[in-house]
Amino acid sequence: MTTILGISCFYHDSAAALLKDGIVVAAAMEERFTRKKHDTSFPINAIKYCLESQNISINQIDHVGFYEKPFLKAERVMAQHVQMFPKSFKTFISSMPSWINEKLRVPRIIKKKLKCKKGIIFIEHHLAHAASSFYQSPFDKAAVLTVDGVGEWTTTAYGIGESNSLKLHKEIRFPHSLGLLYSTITAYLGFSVNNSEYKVMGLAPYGTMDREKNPHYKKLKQVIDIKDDGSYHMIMDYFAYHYKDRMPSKKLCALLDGPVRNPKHELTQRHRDIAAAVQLILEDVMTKMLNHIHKETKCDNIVIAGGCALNSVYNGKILSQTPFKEIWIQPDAGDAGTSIGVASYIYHSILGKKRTAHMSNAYLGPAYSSSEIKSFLDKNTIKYTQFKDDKEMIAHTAQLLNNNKVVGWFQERMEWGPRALGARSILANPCNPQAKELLNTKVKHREKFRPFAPVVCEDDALTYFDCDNPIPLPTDFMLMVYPIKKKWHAIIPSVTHVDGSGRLQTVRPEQNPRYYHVIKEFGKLSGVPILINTSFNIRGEPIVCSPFDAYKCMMGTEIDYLVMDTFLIKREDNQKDMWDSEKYATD
Amino acid sequence: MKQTKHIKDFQHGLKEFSTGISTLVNSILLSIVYIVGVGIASFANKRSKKQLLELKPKDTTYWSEFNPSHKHYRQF
Repeated sequence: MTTILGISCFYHDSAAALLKDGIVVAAAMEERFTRKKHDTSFPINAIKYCLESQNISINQIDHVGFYEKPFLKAERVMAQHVQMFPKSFKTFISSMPSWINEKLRVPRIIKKKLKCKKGIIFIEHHLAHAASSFYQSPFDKAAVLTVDGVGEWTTTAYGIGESNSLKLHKEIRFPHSLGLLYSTITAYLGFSVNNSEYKVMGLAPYGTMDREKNPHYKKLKQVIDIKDDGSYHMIMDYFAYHYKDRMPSKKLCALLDGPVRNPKHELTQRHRDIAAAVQLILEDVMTKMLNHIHKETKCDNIVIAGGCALNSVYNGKILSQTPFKEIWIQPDAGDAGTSIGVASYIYHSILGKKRTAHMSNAYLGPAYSSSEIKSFLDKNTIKYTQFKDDKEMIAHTAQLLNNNKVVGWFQERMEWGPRALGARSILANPCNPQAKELLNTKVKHREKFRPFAPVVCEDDALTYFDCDNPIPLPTDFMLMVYPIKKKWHAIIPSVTHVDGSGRLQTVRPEQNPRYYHVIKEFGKLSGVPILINTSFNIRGEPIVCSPFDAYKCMMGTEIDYLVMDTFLIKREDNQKDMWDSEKYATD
Repeated sequence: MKQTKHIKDFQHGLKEFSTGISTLVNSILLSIVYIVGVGIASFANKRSKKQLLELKPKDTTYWSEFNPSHKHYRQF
């Protein structure tokens, strides 16, 4: 048996993953344990979890892999400072201590923290992205595209994977980056970079999505030179991210008719149009790139990875707008996912081992047994009832949801990736027109424009959504947005976005039987087998991990009930002023 | 009890003071490194007209060859 530990850290979203004979047996982000969103620190808790879940010690690990080549990245950072001297003085002073103390001492830190003497394997960041998607995909052969902010030098790359071989052929290098363009507009719109890009995606449909009518689309196209083969080049006068700690330059602000939005100020139609414009440009570039990649690779399957692969709005258009016939994206296509990528690359590409399985679900995090949950509840004198079996629990939960109650749903192993997929979710009735407002203001404490996602059983999806047929597998990970069929818009208003779309999650019974049957049971009561599924957290907090986190989140919000395993906890029965969650709700 | 609190406060203050001093020293040293090291490198670079970051647009394509390192135990 070959056991490999993959680690990603020191940039954003630290994570660890454990592979046994090429199969991911455990993976988690550090933030879930430290409760610090996007935690960048060494993922010691995630590693401990991975090892403990398999009852092994660090000495039983055959290989340890790191998700990038730190010296290559340092070379790029130094090149930025040299090229942009003396403008880069401030960022040099602020960034160098972390390079000296952490980023250039990765082997020493890993060996010291893990008390392990093994050599560490380093692979290029975009290879780790590519491997995270291709080697975990169901395809024997696929074209591979990686698009993110920046790795060492690479910002975009493509290649081909076949069996246990993966090669990236071409790249686009820093400072030209589609991910950084999106992040720059995110910053311009007053949202936090490396966190709130999905808010820009959610805001875009409120703007003008017509290329001819959007006043900012043509303006924004001036900042990027796009070739027919999808390669692109940023006009760097419009950006400051290569030498400053702010991303848009004064010239970009002038181009977009105003300064960077103050987050405290209201969003205007101009902001919505700018969000729409950047989304349209991302779609233009991605479509051209994918058409070119298809022509080059002559392969009908595509796997994508990198932060831009989390743009679920575009993902839903790939099969209809490009010649590709099948698509796969892993649940955490962002940087955390590279921990799986480096481990997979070591197993298949370096050790030359054959592929035996693909990632069929995202439940790779910690689980808590009934006795552990009961012990937690009893120890904290929390009032609860216990259902006699799953059937009773499912029927009762469906009834609560049909009565417009908001339910915290905590079951079995935690999800891998940024989306809650029915293990640490908040569930509600999508037919209730007030649900969106209630969840946004009283539970999640987040912006009113943000939509909620629908979850539907895979066998019902085509009834309600205009999805690709057959339904692509990434919908299981909430990575594709599709139009909701018009006749259902008024029936499920709380999950129908302003443009009539929904970021659906599909569930198959073998993936998560309890979740699947709750949705089905709710369908029997309401006539619509769809639920609102949103992550079990408040804005600015990581998704809950333990029973304590879940209980604390419920008590600080207006979640009515918490269903943990077969235990039911009613918030009203446990009135304790544990936590005022609203004051903690930040970006 | 009161004495322990004073000791803790003193330790806390000492820690903050040492953090402040180290930040100040680091900033001074890094400023020297930046002005001397990065400055000279930048000057030499400008003299030789070498572009470390590709900033000029091209006519054809921006795709370039991806050349990964095959020395996996190296950080570069």
